[in-house]
Amino acid sequence: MPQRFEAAVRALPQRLRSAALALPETVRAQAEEIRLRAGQALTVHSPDAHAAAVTVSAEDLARTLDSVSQGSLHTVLESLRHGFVILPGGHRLGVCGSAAVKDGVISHIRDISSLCIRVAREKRGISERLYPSLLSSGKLPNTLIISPPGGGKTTLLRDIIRLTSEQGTRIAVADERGEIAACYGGTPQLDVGPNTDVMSGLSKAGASMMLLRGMAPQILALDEITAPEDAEVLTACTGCGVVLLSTAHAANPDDLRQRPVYRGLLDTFDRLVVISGTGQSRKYDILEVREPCLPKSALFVSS
Amino acid sequence: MPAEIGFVCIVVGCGGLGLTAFLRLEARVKLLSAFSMLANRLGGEIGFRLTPLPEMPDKFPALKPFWDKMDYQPYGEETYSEAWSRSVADLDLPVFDRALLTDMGEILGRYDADNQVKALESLRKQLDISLTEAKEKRGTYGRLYALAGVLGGLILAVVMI
Repeated sequence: MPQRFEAAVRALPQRLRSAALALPETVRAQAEEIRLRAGQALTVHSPDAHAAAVTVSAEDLARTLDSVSQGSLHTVLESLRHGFVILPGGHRLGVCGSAAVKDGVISHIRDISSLCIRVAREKRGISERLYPSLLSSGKLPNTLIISPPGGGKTTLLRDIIRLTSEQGTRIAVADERGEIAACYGGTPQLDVGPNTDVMSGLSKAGASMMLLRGMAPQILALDEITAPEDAEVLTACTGCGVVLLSTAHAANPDDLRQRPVYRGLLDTFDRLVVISGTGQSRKYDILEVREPCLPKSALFVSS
Repeated sequence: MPAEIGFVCIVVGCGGLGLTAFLRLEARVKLLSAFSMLANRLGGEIGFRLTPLPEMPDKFPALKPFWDKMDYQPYGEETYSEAWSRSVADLDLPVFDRALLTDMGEILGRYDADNQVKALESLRKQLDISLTEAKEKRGTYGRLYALAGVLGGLILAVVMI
């Protein structure tokens, strides 16, 4: 784990990098976020604590962004417009500053005021116990993973993708924000298996259609359905004979049903995986979505 | 005998100076021509492929000595623009040419692809004006410098010996 931390702070100027690497190993091993704010101390956050190091200057922030883009802002600008940049190793650099807007579109973020490096954490094998229960006649059915924000949906989704891919199934991933595979230079930085094709940087709807046309996947995976057009494209995809694997923000099935975006989607999925709890006490419930003619109260049955 | 050796040394020395001046004019033409081609190539690479700048030495080896001197290290302490400027400062070119190339380093990687392409195109035109001037100078003065060196050496040697 300290190696992950080392990779995450690699783009920082030497002064900050040395200070971060001088923090106790326990802090580095558990680090989830490294926050840099102009005029404030660099802080490393982990689930149990946070540690502070040297004061960060505005020049440090600008140099970090320059380093991340390898002096080639044009290579990260599109991603920067969405507020983040993927780093080698799958870490994410969140960027905050003054947005320069031209013709209603963010052209750049200047005067960087703060940066946040989210240390990528892969949890290989977390779906292995769950996976057999998900299958229907030996195949993965249309599956939706739900949990509140920060519940571990993407981590579980990635591991299910890896496991399915390792079994020889062709999976296409519409990775709009690079959170599933975290592609860097065309290579997934997080393990998504050997039979997985990743399209990143495009909207989920756009990427899904391109993947269906071009890569002939057996399974289409996408993270965080939030917009009506995402839901529409998923509904359209089911007509193409592809199995869907996705995630959504919702604490439970009732919560899901109350959200207009998801109402029309419920019939699209066969299984729901509900994640509750956090850390070691995290719990995964697999629910079956029954025939739509059943009363809504009986829609979800714990398996 | 020492007088003859001195004569030859003066002629060769002055001839060498003239030849060096000629070679500098030749080198300026070659460098400006290479940088003009680089600006053109960069326009395509950045505008169409969004190529990261550190990949350029592989794509444009004609400027290998320049790239070697630049020695940009990703995640190093020096920014791309700083490394570029340092390498330009070492080029044996007139101040105006070096200023143009320093400007090129300020453009690279700083804007979005479209604006870089526009700025590079404008800079390439200025480089081409410098290149034309350098070619004319080479044509007019190149051989003259070399000849003047040898002749000057001969005259100096005769006068001194």
